[in-house]
Amino acid sequence: MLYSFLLLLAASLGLSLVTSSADASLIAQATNRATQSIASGKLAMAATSDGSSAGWSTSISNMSPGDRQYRYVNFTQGTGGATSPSLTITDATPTLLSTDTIRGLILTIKSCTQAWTYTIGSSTVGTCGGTSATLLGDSLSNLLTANGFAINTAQNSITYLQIEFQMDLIDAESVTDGQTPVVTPTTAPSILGLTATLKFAVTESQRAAIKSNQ
Amino acid sequence: MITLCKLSVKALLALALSCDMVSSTCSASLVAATNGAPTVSSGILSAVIVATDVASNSKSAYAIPSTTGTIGNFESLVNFGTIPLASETIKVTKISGIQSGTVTMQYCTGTWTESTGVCSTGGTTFLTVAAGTASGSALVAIALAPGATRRLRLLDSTAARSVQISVTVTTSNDVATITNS
Repeated sequence: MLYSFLLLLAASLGLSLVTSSADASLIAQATNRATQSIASGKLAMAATSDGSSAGWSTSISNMSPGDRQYRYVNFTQGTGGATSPSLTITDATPTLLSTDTIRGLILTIKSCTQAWTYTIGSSTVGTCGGTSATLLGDSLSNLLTANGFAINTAQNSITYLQIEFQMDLIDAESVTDGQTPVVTPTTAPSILGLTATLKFAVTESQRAAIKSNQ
Repeated sequence: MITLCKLSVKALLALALSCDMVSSTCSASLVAATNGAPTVSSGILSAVIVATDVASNSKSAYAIPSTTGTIGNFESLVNFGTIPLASETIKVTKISGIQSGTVTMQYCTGTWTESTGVCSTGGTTFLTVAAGTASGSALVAIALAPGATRRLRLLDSTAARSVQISVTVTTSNDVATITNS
């Protein structure tokens, strides 16, 4: 009886020793000292008026053949990086301003790698102190579609745009005592007293996925 | 099943998210920036002669009774349009009462004293309708902003008679502007 008790006790102690032996084993662990931050980028694009320019959301009135109006807009990219930017232009109220390829509005958009230098109200056309490129330049009639639009799509980049609205002086128009305009030398309808309602939409897609060893 | 969800970020920014409901992933794939659809308008040409400063330009030709003597008869050249003018072609046509003598038209770069017919400075005769001719016209460089007025004087060389003439003004798009705005 006593033997059985001792044996049982010994067995119990043995088990206990085995367990103690397992708890005492070494565990090696390597960790980074600071937590690693992994963030996804944000596909975003903001268009804002440059400085005190009226930008591309304020109307232009009373243009006359030969006139040129310049507006300045900045495009700022998000943190995600983008690709394939395009510009779609629509006119909600088509008139000769947007349907006549010769006498209608002509739109020219130039980019600059830095802010344009200009004075509001001045007749001196704004200048680019960096690298400039013409992104679009055609009659509005020919631009009423999706157009390639090579703004900078790198993350957090800014593209500085100069938008020129122009009416070429093709035909002289004259008005006697406020009556109907007469176009010479052609007999085309007048380009005066018309309005275009322009919607610009710049779209771009998420950039292609990348694989990188760093 | 593919659905399309849209999230407006700003007035100028619309973000479209393409969501694949099967894989429960939603990745931003398209972003757009748009403007507020402003209007671009061409202006209106309109200038007339009116006998007084009235807010109407409905006359196709205004009959002006010519007064006599050295004072003359004053009319206003008004730009009722929305486009600035650099010059105007003014035509005077005899209607009745002018069998001899001339009718002249003058402008003043200074100020007219209309009670005496005296121009303070820069009085210029720019149009003369000679005796024996039915009409005369001249291109005169009078700059007129939209809404601006310039007083002109009609003078009949023969005193004490009643005459009727017609004055018309033709304007053209002769001022091109370049503006940063």
